[in-house]
Amino acid sequence: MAILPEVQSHYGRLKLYINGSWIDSKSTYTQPVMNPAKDEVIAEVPFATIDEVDEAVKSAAEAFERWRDTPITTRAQYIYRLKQKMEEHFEEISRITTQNHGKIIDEARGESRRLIENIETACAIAYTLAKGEHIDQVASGIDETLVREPLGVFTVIGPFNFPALAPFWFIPQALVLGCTLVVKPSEITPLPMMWCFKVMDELELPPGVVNLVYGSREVSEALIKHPDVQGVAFVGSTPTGKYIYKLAGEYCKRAIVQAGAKNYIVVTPNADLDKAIPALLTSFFGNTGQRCLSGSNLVAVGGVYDSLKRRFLEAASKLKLGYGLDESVEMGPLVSLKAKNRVVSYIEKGVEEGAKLILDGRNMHVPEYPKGYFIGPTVFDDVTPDMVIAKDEIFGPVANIIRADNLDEAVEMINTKTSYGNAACIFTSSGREAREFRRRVKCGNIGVNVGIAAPMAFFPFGGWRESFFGILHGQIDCVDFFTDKKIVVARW
Amino acid sequence: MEEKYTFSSLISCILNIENQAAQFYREIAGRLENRELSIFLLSLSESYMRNAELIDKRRRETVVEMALEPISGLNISSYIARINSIISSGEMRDIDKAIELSRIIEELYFKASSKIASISPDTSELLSRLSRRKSSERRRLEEFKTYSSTTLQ
Repeated sequence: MAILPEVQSHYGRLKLYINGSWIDSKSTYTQPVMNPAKDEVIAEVPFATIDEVDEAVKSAAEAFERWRDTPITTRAQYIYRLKQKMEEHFEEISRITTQNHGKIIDEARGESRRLIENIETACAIAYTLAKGEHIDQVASGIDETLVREPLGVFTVIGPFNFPALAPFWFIPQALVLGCTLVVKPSEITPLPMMWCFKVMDELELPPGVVNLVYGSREVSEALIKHPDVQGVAFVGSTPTGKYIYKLAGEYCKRAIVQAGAKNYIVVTPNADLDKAIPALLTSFFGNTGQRCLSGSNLVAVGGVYDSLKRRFLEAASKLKLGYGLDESVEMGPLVSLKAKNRVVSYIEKGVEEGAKLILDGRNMHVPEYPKGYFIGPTVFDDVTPDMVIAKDEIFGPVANIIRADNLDEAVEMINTKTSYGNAACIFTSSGREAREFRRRVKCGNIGVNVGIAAPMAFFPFGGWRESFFGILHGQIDCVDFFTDKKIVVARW
Repeated sequence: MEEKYTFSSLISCILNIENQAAQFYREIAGRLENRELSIFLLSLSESYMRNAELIDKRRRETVVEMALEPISGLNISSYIARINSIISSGEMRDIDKAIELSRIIEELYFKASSKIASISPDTSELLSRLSRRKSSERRRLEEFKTYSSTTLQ
């Protein structure tokens, strides 16, 4: 199978997008952007200076007054055109995502699809949820009206694992509602968002409506603290998320913080393993385990243990590793050498803790890409829920098999042995078990015979406990985040 | 060793086949003396190119999550070998090549459709539909073969 061509082999020194123009950053600090399958530098990302952050926010603030005055039907037309442009550039964005992140091309295409789904949902919002409410004659001669108004400039801070999609949980919704944005993608995977901005540049949006800066902690802090910024939407790890949430609180800003996870996948004895195994593979090893919805702890309830372990192990050991632009590849590398080393250290920790390593991904080699940050599917058996590998978010292709005598014990583990509450899934053919699971598990996204409980764009992206901080979630829920309500009581 | 495919690698193979078949029909249309058949083959060529666009679009629009479980039991390389052998054959007449090509693709799409039903029902349905279309195209080609009085190379 031929390898799909890369869009570009090198993207140069990335430019900031401020006030409708691509500009060279004055920053002297840059970081290499890597292709993780090849350990090859494919761009240089400058970390914006504080002055450049200020310039980006000011341009967004100036644009806001004009943008909010632009009729919502006109704003929606821009979003319709954005959808069309993204369809045209679908393959480019997907390939760049694979090139920069390492995920295989189908996963990148799936990500691009979901990105577009968020744009489509934003178009729907324009004519539905953006509307206010009105009651005639609440008192004698008096009417009462609720008007929804855009708040101003927001910042979106994206994660490395879904570099194109995650910021689009917020971007099209904010734009259609009349807000303006400064987006900061992950400094590890900035290329997909840079390319999305190239596409948005073709829309000829009014200058300043969307802005793009790069950087790390300092840039994020400067954005959140900026007096013209109304709020922050963040997707990333729990420690960073907590920090962002506290900082936003300190500066009295709105915040949506979608954070980390440690997801349990429960398989009961009456599950249909023929259907479960492919879903489990996708759950544990899809995106090389770098998903906040990935399975991490595989709980075998009662008598399903032997057959589940045997079949899961057999299927996992057959996955083909390689560069994701080769369409025959089933799993790509970790995003960075640092990420790979982190996963390796967790595998060593698991062995140290006494878990039985029955499939060791450290031994997997990809001869065509000897320098790539590859780790193959890794499976631990005899894991207990108190082990570090069962509690910490590893963010790699590591599955821990844990035994439970019954469903009650499995639910208890999920609710008490991890502080995270992003997702939990059950594989069962019993409606009663599925219902019990759904009602009792303290997680924001529940899968029933589904390995990745990923909400579509027209539902909120859930998350409970330490997987989420805030009140309003991403995707459709953020309508309330970007607007505030004004109540008008009128007598004429 | 059993061949395994991801959803994308399977679809890429199918896109290549559609493009290859489109080119083949266009080429033989250009050298046939039977004008009616030539026009039909040109329309087939155009239809194959449209199919390729449609399949690519369907893949783009339906890939939401991917399944890591490989697709096996299709043995596409044997289909590709048969297609290449027919196209390059010096012994077969063009009309026979066209009929046989259509038959092979019809069979492949029928099998592939069932293999991807759970991964992408929409793409599965499209392949099933295209398989039926190949069948009717083949019958039309067979009619040309039976009734045409003009020279068929």
